[in-house]
Amino acid sequence: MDTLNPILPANRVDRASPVADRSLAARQLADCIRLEEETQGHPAPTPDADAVAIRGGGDFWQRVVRRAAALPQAPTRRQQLAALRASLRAVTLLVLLLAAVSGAAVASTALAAHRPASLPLVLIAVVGINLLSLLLWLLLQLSGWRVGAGMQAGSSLHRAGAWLAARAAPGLHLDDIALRVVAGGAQGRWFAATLVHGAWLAFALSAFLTLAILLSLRAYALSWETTLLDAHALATWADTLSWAPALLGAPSTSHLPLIPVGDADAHRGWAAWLLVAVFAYGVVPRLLMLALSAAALWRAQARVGRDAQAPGYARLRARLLPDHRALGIVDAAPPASPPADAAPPVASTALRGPVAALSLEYDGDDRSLPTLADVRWQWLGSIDDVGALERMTTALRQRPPDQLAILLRATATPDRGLERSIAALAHSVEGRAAVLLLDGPRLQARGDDIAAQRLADWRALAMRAGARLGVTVAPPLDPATRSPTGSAP
Amino acid sequence: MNRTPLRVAVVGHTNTGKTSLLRTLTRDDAFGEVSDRPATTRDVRGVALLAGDETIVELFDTPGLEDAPGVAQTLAQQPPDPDPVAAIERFLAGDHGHGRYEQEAKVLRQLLRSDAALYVIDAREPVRNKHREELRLLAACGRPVLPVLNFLDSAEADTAAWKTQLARLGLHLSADFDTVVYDAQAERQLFDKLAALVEPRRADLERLQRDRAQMRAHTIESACRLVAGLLADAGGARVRGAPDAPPEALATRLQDRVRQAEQRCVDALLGLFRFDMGAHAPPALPLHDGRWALDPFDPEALRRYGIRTGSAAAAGGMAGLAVDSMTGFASLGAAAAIGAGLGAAWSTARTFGQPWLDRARGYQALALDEATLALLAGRQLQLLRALLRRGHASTAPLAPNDGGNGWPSAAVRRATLRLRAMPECSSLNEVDGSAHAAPPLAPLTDALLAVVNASPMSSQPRSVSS
Repeated sequence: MDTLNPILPANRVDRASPVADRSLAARQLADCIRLEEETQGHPAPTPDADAVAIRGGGDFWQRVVRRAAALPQAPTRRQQLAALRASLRAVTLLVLLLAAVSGAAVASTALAAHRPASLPLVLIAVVGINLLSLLLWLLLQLSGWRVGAGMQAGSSLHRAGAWLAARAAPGLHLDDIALRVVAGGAQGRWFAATLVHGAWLAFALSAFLTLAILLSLRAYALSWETTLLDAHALATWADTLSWAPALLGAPSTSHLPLIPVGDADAHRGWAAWLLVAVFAYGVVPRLLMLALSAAALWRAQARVGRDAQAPGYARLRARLLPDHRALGIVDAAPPASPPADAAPPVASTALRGPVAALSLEYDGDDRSLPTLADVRWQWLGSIDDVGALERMTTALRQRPPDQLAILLRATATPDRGLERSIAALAHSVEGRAAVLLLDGPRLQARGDDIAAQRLADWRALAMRAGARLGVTVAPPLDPATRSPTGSAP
Repeated sequence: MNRTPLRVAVVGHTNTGKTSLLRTLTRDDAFGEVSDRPATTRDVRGVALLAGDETIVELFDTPGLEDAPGVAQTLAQQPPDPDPVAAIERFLAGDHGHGRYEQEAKVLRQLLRSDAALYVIDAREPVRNKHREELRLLAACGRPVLPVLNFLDSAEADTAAWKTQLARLGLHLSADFDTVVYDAQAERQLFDKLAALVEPRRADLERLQRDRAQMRAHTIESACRLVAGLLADAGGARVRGAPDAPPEALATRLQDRVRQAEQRCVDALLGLFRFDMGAHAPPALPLHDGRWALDPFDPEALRRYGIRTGSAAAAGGMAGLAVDSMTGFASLGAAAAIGAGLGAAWSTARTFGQPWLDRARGYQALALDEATLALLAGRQLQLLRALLRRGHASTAPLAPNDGGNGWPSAAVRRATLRLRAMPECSSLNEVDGSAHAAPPLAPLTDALLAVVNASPMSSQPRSVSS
């Protein structure tokens, strides 16, 4: 919108360039795209534009702008935005022109309406409303700040702009998105304020110039007239009103007669006072407010397309400036060997009679043995390291039991280390070994699918390890108790 | 600054959540493959953590160690070597126990190429001899090892036993990090502790942390903005119907619009936090007893009417005064009075024209009532909190969400009701889905943010570790 702002320099660089385009037009385009995508709910997948943005580098906002410029809908949007800006520029010019004309009209009417011209009346006509509306505007700013009273001005303005733009370029099919980007929110509010102050400034300047020209070229009788006030009150008023002109360096008027009759010097003195007063009360305050509003507008424009909070931008961040990058496989696994356990797992044989039991990676004792029907346990001990395993296999080979139960936690992961130990034990009893899984309920608490998968993995492992008596869970898993997925264990 | 990134190998016994750790650290629920089975990961796969454009850390996911005692046995059969690293290198140069220890060799090789290791522990598992063998093996590689305790949120986790045993092996520094139940504080401590082990890289790691913390803060703000947008849309939504239209049909129309908006908000929230959970559909809104016949004397609407009319009258009066001054006040301020009157009338017509016209013609208009808006706000905030606590390794579905009791806070209520008086800001009233005016969302966003930031982490619903 810098092109439409009357006092900021125009700066339009729309085409893609090696240096990221930070101009307002480019950021407005990016904001348009964001609003479009937020309406859809998510940024569209645009790998090509993303690649352009990432290749371009720079910070996140530069990438956002680059991506927007590379999108297929960018040219249409750019045209829409340009049309809107042009129409707002036209509105601005029109308003300024009207204000200047009415300023001149007010000044000449006020001077010519009455002879001799009443100094306070001319001053009130030229700067009174100006000052009054300025005060009102300030009051509105203070009271309506939090509720966005300016929204009103912004939305009226943006409708006027839309109406004009639609007339100027009927084929462009303007939507609310472009309007919101150019004249919505804080931008629209401050643009409206800048426009209003600019218009009043034009009014005041034109009135000032008209007064200067008329007072230079024609003879007017100027006086402080009154019917009601006494001379003392009138003098007080004159002194009070001279306060601001005196600040600007106007010569003192205290020696001038309030009602000069035929005194050309006095008329000249009051004419100069009038000009300085109009400047001090009409031009200077509006100039200050215009500067303030323009600064606020500039700040609002600087934020266009830089809203880190906006969900549309936040979701682009992962794509345009990712926080991680896959490095791929750096050390590939050897091709998987064909599964050795192609044969279906043997059905578990029920243990009965005397069964020797030992535990692997489980600190059990004979009390941790489950009660199974027809089974008489013979406790051999716990194994947790290589030495214990070697001693156990040696002992088992010397006096092999009929059946061997290897106790394990059902929640343990069936890894190759356990497989090697189970294989060594099963081998030493010539395969008459069973894997007996304890803590079944704890496994089941992790979910039925997980429990079933784990059981299958254990069966496959028992097969591979040569434990021909299969896998038994104690207490057995209950397929009927379905623990609801998603609830806390 | 063009330094080589810090290379960290993520190691551990099989099925302890190494890939899960990487998923959660990268916020990428598609990284690698995760299952509750041994040897799910068989390759060594890398991922770089970036701050801006620069790679700060390279993390390498390794296959699980499955038979460290076996490797130790093989090492013991090698000719003795006074340098443990040389012994490992000799093992790697060999045939790895006739290929039996290929997986373990990959881990050790990757560790030798790295600057440090994160040793991931399933805290639900008891400490066994195989774990000690693994840690001895890793120590022999001469790289600093930081144990990371995973699955701490589970009731089965025995953190104290693990810490005692780790200390006995000389590992006095360990990090607590649940890959399923995310905790931003825990992540910061993880990187802090890693920095303590690789002190020269501390500045880099801190930069990474700052970058990530800022990203997270932005994401949370965006999420609150999304919820605020939903509440503005839902609050401003109006449906009008002819006098003879059945009220149920109107209510259903309103319900459908709001439900679609809520679904869009939920999808956007999931996308924002980079969760791909398929469809998480919020339950239906109980609108049947919660619709709100439009009240033209709603205090918020009247308040707004006062402000709008005041400014419109002032603007009209100003315009009139300008006309007055052009006539040199011959019109005696009549134009100003007319202007002010016109301004006020215009504003009144804009605010109440349609509703009153509707009422006069017997049209019905519906909007959401306060209780329904409170439920919407509560539900979205609960979802947001659940997402903040969800690790990207989590595969459990989101817990059902009841929205809590009433408004999340008085400030949220106030800001939402204020937005309810602005139907022109609701995108649910437009055909093309974009609002006439951008709603002033900042106060509501701030109120929501205050609720999210104030909520104690301990009160979060726990999600199930799969």
